[in-house]
Amino acid sequence: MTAESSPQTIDYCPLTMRRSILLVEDEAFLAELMAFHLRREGFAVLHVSSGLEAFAVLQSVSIDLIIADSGLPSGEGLSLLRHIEAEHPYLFPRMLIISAHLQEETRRYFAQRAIPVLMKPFELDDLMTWIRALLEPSTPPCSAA
Amino acid sequence: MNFFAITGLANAVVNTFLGVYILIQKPHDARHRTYAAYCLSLSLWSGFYFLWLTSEGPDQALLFSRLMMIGAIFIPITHYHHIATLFGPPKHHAKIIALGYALSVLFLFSNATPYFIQGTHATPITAYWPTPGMLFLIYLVYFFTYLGMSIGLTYLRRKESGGVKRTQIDYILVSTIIGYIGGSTNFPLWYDIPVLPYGNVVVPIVTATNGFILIRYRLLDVQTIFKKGLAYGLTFLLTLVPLFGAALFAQQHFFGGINYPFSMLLLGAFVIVALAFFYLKRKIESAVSRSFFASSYEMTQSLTALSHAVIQMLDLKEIGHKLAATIATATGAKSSMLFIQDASGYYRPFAAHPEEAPLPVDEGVSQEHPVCQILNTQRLVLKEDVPGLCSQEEAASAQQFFDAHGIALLIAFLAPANRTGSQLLGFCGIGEKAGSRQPYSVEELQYLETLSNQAAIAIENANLHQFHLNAQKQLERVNRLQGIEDTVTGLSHELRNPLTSIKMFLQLLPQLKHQEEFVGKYYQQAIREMARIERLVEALISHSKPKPPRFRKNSLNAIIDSVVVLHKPRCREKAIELETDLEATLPHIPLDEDRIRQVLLNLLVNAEEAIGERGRITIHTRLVLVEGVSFVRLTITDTGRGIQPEQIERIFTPFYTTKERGVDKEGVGLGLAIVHRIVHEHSGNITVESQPGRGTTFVVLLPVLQESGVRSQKSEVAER
Repeated sequence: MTAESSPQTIDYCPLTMRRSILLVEDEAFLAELMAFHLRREGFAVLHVSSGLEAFAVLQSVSIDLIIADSGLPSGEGLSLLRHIEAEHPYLFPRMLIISAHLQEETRRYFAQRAIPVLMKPFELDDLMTWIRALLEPSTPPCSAA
Repeated sequence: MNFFAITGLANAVVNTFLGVYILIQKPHDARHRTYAAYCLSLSLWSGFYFLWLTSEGPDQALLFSRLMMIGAIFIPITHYHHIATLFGPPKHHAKIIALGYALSVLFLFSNATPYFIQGTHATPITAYWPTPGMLFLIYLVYFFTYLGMSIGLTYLRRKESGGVKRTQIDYILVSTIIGYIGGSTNFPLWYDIPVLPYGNVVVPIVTATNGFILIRYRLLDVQTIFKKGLAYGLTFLLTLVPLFGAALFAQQHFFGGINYPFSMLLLGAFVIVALAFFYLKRKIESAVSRSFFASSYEMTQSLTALSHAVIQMLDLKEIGHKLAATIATATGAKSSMLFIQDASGYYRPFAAHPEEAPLPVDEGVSQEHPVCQILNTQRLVLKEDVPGLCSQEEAASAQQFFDAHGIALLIAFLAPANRTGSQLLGFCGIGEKAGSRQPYSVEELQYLETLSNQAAIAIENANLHQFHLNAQKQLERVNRLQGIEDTVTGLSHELRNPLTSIKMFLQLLPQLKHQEEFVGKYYQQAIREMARIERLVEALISHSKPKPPRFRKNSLNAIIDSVVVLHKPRCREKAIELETDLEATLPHIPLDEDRIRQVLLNLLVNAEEAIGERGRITIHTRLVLVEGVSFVRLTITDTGRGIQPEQIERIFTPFYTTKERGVDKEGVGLGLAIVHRIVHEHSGNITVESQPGRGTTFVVLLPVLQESGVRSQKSEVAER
């Protein structure tokens, strides 16, 4: 396994031109595949594997969309969301959750806030549809930063 | 012949009897021997006392008084010796005792000389009362010194003791003082002091009290003595007085006068016969029933033996065989066959005597069968009685049952009241009597009725025991299923992750199959993800599919690995690190894989719950030597909240839980109880150490040698 411990950025072009996605996922292989595909689709992808790293990224980098695994170790998935809700409210409607198993509490939390959840194993097409749907009606990239 | 002579005779009789009686109780006990010696001295004294007072002429009187004094000389020392022995080994008093006997012997020699007894003189009682010599005065000093020492010794012991013993010593003290004051009333007349020896009557009180304490060491209380004394006294009075009166009258009538010495001997004989009667009655009764009514005696014996045996048996098979054999041998029947109700409610042949014949394969009889109907109301049914007990049709069917199994007599085993289900637990068919065509006697039938009660209790006990074992098994199963449920939930999460990766890889593959970078980089990883899924599925299968219990040489480490794989996802979710440190060269040991898996899972769940969130669970295995025996030691350590010291003793008790009941379904307190049982079935041992707030370590020791393991395997098989 190649678990990344620091944010990894691969810039095909300047960040301002591309939509940037923060991928928070601790499954290394899955994250790698997703990042590979999303980059081919023209997104700038930042991958981290824990909530704490995600906090750090959000402090310094402008992000258009967050894709997060709800099953991060030690319930970090939910605390990450709470952090975003409090600190970066503009990002809140631009969140997509991917999950292998939802605790009842978490499920209620997402439902109340109308945050979309994709259950694993998901279809690649569904993933792309959701990403586009969330970015589509948008304000210009990075506007609120 | 006067009153005082009679007191002498009575004293002689009582003391001789007591001495002999106490000695035969325990002939080798020093306390009993010294008591007998003391009694002998008293008997000698009082026996010759009687002869002396009834003697004719001075020479005879002098001879008897010298003989009488032989006993008197030994009274103080034998008394002291007995008292010293009564309170433990007399080593500290050995010198005093030796001196006492030495002095006695000296007095014994002097007894023959005028220095001890000069001659005789007239007194109100007899014309030949002995006149004391010079040495008699020294004898008196010796007499009262040793008496004082006896009383002093008793008093010292009284101060040291308490409870029943103290009460006993009080009785000894009082009786000694009264007895000796009484006895000492014999001394004044030696010196012509006009005090008559009326005190003779209380002399036996000393030996009576001491003797009673010896045989009824724990039972000495006033009421017992009083009640018994009164009962015996009245019996004596009512039987002996008229009898003795009749004897005196007969003498007067036939011989024209009463011979007093003869009458006294007769009285003594009567007393002895009366005393011996109670004792002999018991002995003779038992001897008679043993020799003339051997069968009934044996029945009583076998009934007693059976009652003792069946209480200790819990295995129904064992009880069945014992019952069948006892019933047949005790009643002298040719055969017996036991029917016990099985789970389906039918009564089937269960055990038989003699055992050589195989049990008939029989569909048994239902509760509605006439035989069972009759037995529900009738504890004992003879084949001949059947027609009178039910309708003709039923009787025919019942008779058929009797004939088919060669039964002459049936006894029912009826359960105690308040039992749900059928009252009839089973019954026993008894064949004809062996040898003769004799019918069963009333006594034998009574015996069988008594036995049927005992048997019913034993069968009910065995049934309850079986029920208990089954309940235990079911609880274990519940615990196991619950474990699987939790594992599966956790596992679905763990399976979905690699599935998602593989799925995504496959979905991308068609477009990217020609890209070296993609295929080269991710193909191997996808294979690895597949392996991960396989491993999980395998572990899940081995856990959920119950295998028959079997002890096989197995690797504990491998079992741990497979459990850890399943458990890791759950732990990771709660930020619990699950680490293993397993000794690679661990020998394979006899294990029931399924149940050890259960042990590990229960301990892991326990550790996980103790931690809650964030912590570490470490599993170690090591090969260790405990008192020269090799064990595999498994430790599971968590960094959880720990167990309070007052709870630690009870954590292996079923249904004891420190978790809040009802909050989560695991908190029923079964897990550790089951762990404990499984480990013990492996002839192993489990202990726990815990520091509240710091964490808990469970240490499991499993033997490497299989002797004990094999044994438990056998018992396991027998259980099923």
